[in-house]
Amino acid sequence: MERKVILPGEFIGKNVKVQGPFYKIQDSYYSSIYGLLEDNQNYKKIIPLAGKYIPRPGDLVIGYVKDIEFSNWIFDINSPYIGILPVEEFSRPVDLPKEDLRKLLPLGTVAYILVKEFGRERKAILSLKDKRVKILKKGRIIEIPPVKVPRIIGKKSSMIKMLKEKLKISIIVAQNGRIWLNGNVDDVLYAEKIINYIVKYAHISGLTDKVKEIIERREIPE
Amino acid sequence: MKLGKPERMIINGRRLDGRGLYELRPIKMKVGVLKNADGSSYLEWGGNKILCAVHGPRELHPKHLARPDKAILRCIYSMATFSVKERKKPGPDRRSIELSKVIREALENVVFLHLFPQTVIDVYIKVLQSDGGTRCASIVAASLALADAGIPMKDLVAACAAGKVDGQIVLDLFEIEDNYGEADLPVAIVPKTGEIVLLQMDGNMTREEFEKALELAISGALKVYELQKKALYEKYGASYETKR
Repeated sequence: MERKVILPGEFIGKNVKVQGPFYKIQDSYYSSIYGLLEDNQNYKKIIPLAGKYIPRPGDLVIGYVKDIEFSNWIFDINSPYIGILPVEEFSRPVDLPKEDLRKLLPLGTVAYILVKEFGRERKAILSLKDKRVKILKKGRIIEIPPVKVPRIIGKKSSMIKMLKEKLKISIIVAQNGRIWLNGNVDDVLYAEKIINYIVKYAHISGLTDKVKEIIERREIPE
Repeated sequence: MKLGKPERMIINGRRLDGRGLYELRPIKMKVGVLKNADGSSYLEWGGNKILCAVHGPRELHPKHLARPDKAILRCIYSMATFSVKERKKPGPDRRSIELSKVIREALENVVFLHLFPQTVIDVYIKVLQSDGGTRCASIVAASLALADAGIPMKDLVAACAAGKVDGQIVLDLFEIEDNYGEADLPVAIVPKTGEIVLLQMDGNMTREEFEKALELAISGALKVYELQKKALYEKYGASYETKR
């Protein structure tokens, strides 16, 4: 599979199937970003190299409470748009006049949370009514560019499975580029270095095996 | 202390810095130079040294500036106090506000702002050293930094100036020619469509001279465009199997 660098405005092809950020003038397709072009048999795929996280319904993200309103929590979700958790979406029914939202989820609370809606209002409606969500009370959070998240997960989760198995720590990779690590302090700090290495060399193929070798030898990557 | 006006600025077809009439100054570009910005670039164009950082799209404050249908582009051009021979007073002045505006208007033509409603894309341009033609150089650096930040665009914006010195049309004026020449014509274009997104003129030219200068400036901008593309390829190019 051939990959090459593509620039904004670069011609991709005529009457082809294109995935990713492109624009079209008549039959011709052009890239709209600076990224990589993957030449597959039936279609061409543009892989961005940078960019911000834009929420999509169904995504799981890591956010923290940055403000509390009368009946909402406002979350920072590492995006140009804020996340709103209305009381109705809290994990249990809340009796508003009697209960203090500040006690339920105080400022700074970190949560692994579901994006329920993202509409034209450009506010992500979050929800804690899901089995997968979690309030994160300990551990370490690191941030990577959101476009590199698929690389940390790998094809069919190969990379993330390997990391969990070899490093013996719990890892949650959220779609918004935040990664939660929990376990032995030394292992967590080592994992952080490994993740930074993956981000740096995200464009190299066969990275999972290379990272596996590095971890097995417990090398500190450059 | 100011340099006085030279008697002649073109001698035997050579300019004061040794260039021919239609020659560009040496240009160096690099992208991804700042860690804390979403995208960045550094440009050396003759004696100009320009650093540019792009942040965003990000949440806009104050909120009342936000547009419900598109992002806004905020451009801040500023010169370092040490960028010119005499100390430049820091802070925005008439000239830098004007330049911020024309640069913003040039870039607004290519950035797909409608993809990020209610947000802002901030472009900070710092001139570390100035040697004439900084508005063109700033546009070139800013469009590189925008591309580096992963912001969707129609194309890069390329720019170059032409002008009239000693009665002759020349390409890419430097400081002395800019100050004592007869006219200066900065032009920015979108190479893909040929649109002109910046056109200013300082001084006087006849209609024929203007047409010739415009054509020359566009040809200069197209050369700059090739260098911009090269700089972007080089950021990742080296680590890829397929090089161009």
